[in-house]
Amino acid sequence: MKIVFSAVSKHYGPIIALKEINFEITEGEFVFLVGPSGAGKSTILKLILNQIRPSTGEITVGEFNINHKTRPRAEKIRKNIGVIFQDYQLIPDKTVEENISLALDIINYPSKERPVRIEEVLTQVGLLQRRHLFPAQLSGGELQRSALARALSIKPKLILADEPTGNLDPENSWNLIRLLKDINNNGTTILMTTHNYDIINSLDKRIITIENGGIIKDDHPAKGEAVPDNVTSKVTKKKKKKVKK
Amino acid sequence: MSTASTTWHHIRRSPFQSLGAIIMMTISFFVFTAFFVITNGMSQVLSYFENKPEITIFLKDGLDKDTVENVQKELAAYPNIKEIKFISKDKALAIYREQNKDNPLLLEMVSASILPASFEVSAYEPKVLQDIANNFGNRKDVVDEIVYQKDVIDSLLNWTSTIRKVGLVTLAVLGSVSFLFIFTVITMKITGRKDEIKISRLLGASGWYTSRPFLLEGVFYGLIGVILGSSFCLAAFYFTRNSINQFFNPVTFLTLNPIFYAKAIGIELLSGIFLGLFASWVGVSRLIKF
Repeated sequence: MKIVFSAVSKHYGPIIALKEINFEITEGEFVFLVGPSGAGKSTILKLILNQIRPSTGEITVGEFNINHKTRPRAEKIRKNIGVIFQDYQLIPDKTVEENISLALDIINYPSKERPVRIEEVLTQVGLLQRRHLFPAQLSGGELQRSALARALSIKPKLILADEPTGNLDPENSWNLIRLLKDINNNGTTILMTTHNYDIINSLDKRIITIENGGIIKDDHPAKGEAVPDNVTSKVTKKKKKKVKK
Repeated sequence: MSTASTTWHHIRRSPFQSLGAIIMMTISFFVFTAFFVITNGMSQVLSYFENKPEITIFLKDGLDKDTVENVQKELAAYPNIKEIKFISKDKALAIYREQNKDNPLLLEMVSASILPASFEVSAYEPKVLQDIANNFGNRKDVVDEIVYQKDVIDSLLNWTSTIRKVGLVTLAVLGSVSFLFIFTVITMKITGRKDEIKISRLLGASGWYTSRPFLLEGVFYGLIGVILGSSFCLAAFYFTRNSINQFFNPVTFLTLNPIFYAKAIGIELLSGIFLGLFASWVGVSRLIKF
């Protein structure tokens, strides 16, 4: 799914959250959105999700156009987007399976095919054995994988990941990144906000840096580093060395 | 998860709120059913009296045949008289026996000698009956008592009107309380599931999708309230029907016509659905954006 921001500004009263930003994300790209807290990252995600309306400019999300005057019904856009949040946003009194089933129900996924689809995504994220557990019974990594499974279940054209590794330990963070990378390899566009430069620097992906509501940098890192196969980052390795000493 | 199973899940998750709503609706529809049946019974009583002779002149005991014939002639002389019927002591006993054929004790205690003979007079013009009542009311030599049906009907109309007014006010109060109760319960449930609704909306759920379980919950309370309320009320009438109908004899106060009850339950079901749906809709529209 293609995303285009054309001279988009967003004001909250006197506060300027975004100042005439322009960027385009093509179909199948994996893009990191980085910047300090309050830079405007979440505002961009909210605009894409049609939670808020731009003050000026125009946003194109797939076939939908959003501007300060008109916007399509939010659900039309959201049904094509898988969202992963830092705090998982799973419904506490539903099991992992029921949380995924809810997402499928919302997009009117054929009910007969739902069990198969749920099994597929739970296998993909390695949570098939945990399908009947409630969020309170899962670890942080499992919760985030559940959220990913829910996002994947609807076969989204775009995945928005809002600091998905924020509450995860390095090992689980790398597991999640590997999954996202695999998904991206299958053609799904991914836009991920993060503060984890360890991860950003390890992937050869586009990085949009945002500060004070404006884009200050939009480029690929000079040299990428592949996600380590043993699922441990440099940080994790250092920690392990310290433990040995 | 279907809308129905989500609704059921919501009900099970806060059973006491749900129980409160069901009890409130049950009380409302118990009163609704009682009002329906009693109003119908009162109409039967009214209709009975309206179709009866409008004035009855009970004669003193021991009057000779000539005196009775003179009274009949006097009555016939009034203009606009529709019908004059003489009920002898024997005929009065026959009527009494027919009316109390199921109660042998009452039949044993009464003989023709203690029942008075009477004239039942109906007229085209109500004013004539008023004149007859005034003139014969002073004839203590021949008349024992005058029962002027207008008084009975007026009294019944007053009773019916009062029952109707009290019933309607009670129903309005109970309906309002039920409305507020369901509205409050649904509002509390929506507030309690604010996060779930927010997550669903982010996943692409429409306002209608997120509202449906709450609207269905309101309808559920309405339906259960009607089923329980009308069942309890009709059961109470069923077990007391003989005593009530005996009291209003010869009028059948509690009708046995199944069509009447089918209509009553149909109207109540529609009212219950409407009340539940409307109350939950007001709650939903305040908290969920469409």
